[in-house]
Amino acid sequence: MPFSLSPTPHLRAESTVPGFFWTVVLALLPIVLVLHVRSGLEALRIFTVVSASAAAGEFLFRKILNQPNRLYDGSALATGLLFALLLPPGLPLWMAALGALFGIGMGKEIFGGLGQNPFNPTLVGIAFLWISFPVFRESSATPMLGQAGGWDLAAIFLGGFFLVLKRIIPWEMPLGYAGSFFLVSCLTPLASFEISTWSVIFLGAFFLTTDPSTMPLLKPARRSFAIAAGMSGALISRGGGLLLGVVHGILILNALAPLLDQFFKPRFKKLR
Amino acid sequence: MKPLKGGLRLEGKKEATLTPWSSVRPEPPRRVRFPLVLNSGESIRPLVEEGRKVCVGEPIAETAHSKIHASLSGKVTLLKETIEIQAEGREEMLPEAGKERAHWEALSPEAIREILKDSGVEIPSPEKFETIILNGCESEPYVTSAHSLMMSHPLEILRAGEILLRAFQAEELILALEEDKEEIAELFKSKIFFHSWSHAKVEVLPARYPQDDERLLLESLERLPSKTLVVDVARSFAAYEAVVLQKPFYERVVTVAGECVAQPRNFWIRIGTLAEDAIKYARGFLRQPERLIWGGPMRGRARESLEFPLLKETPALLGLPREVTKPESVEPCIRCGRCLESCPVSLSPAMITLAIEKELFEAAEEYGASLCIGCGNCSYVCPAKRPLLELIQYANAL
Repeated sequence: MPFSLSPTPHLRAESTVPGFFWTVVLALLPIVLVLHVRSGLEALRIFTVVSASAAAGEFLFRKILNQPNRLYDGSALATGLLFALLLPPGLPLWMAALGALFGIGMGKEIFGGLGQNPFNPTLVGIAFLWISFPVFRESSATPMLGQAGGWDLAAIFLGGFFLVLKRIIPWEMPLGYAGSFFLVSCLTPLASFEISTWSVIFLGAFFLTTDPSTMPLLKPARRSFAIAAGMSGALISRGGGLLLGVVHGILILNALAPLLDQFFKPRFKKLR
Repeated sequence: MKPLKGGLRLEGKKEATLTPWSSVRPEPPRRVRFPLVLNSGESIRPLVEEGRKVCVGEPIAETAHSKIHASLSGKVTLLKETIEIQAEGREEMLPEAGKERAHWEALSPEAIREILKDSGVEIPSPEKFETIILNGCESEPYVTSAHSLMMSHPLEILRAGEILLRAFQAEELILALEEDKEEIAELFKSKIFFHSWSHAKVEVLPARYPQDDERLLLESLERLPSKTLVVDVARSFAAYEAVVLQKPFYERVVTVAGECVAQPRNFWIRIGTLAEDAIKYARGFLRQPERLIWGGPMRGRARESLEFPLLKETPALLGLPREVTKPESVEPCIRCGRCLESCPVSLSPAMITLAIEKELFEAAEEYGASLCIGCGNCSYVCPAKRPLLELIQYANAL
């Protein structure tokens, strides 16, 4: 007879954490599909190996750190797919797997897992490969993304708009990032402005700046984050190539995100 | 008019109790109970002793600002911190109740305020306000008691507004409604037009929760809290009945609803009716509810049993099933920021609760913990199902 007790509110929205990340995975599927159609088995191999490695990485690290298994929430798969998109097609598979493993383990799990990581695990993985393997550095100018004519760019926009409509990502971030990136690039011209570079920039805009745990919480802080990441991305690209620019531009801002939140902290006047 | 920040569009779930929208007046219950201690800690002084026979409308207790009246005629029993009345014999009312008060239009402001206090319609202390707002907003799902009352007694509510204008020597009367009550807005506008009331107007606001919160309503309508009196329609109707019909506040419209209730409907319920008896009016439960709520689903209190009375402030009694209340396990905060977007007072529930979990209470305060108005939007939107409001209220209680 007794009814359950609970604090207010007694209603909840439909959204869940797994729902959040599986929606991101869904948004990435068009891109994966397009690349598979263009690059065939090679692309599929990298996607499979990297996804498996990311999932295994999360599982193993959590086991070692005595944390419960969270593979069901889809965040490992989302990280894995994004990571794979930035790799050059000819990269040795073991290197790709190692990068994904490092990214998830040292970029996310070591900090306590979902929600606790200050850096985007995808980008940590890329940074690891960049620092450790000259082979990666040499071939990084042509990531898998950008090899499919304009189709992968279209797929990125499709996925990106989908996420904005689903309110998974705020619309100001992609706009701010892409806008400032292109603006600064026009003032300090890049080597080239081909479609392939656009794909990476927009992937960064829609998917890499918007990893929830690594961006600031407050709206003005997020906008500044996106604009600054775009700026530093464009500036770094000038010297080190596009991939370095996008990846490290965002990583720097990941580090600055808490400062931005602190800077934009509102001062309250009493409502009553 | 300023739109609400961070409001939520909630699924109304109001159709069940709005078809038909009229309120049913059932047989009075066999007993009613009045607690003698309020949540605020203020105590109520009984005016009757054990065994006394009372009739409907007789004052039985008083507080600093108001009185409580018997809603049944019968015998008084004094239980622990409660007055109970057991119905006995034929129902008897106070002789003048229901009869129009002579020359009520000519009453002085002081006289009106005195009548309101004596009749159990609690009024604030200040004697003068610039604006009276009749709060017809009902933003919580399931609750339709104000809607029903406004549809059936629009003129009385407008007259109540007039009475309050006079009582507090105010110049402006505003009827605040949400856009899902368009028909009521039209109804009021036409009545105002026909009676040529130039000082009354209807403001239609977007239907976002928690627009009905008094403080947010004042912000949206850009009126100063110190110069405005906000009265909900149930209390204003009681004010009309008190002044015009000499009837004390002993009954009100309550929505008895929820998917578990057999015949959800609005009922005229005597103050003090036990939830147990109120559920019977709605033909009981189709199935055992997961949660029984005193009030609305966003702000109401969950109760363990049906043994509690419905009081003057109770707009609804809800029986909600498991699939609606969705008790789910808590996940870690992913810092998605939805709680910030939905907060009507622009706080950062994520930051506040992350600080509270680490016992950094000063940090929590810096992010606005004590300004929380308790609407529950943050907990509602959180994908991780974190108990955000609970944590904030815990910290505020310390």
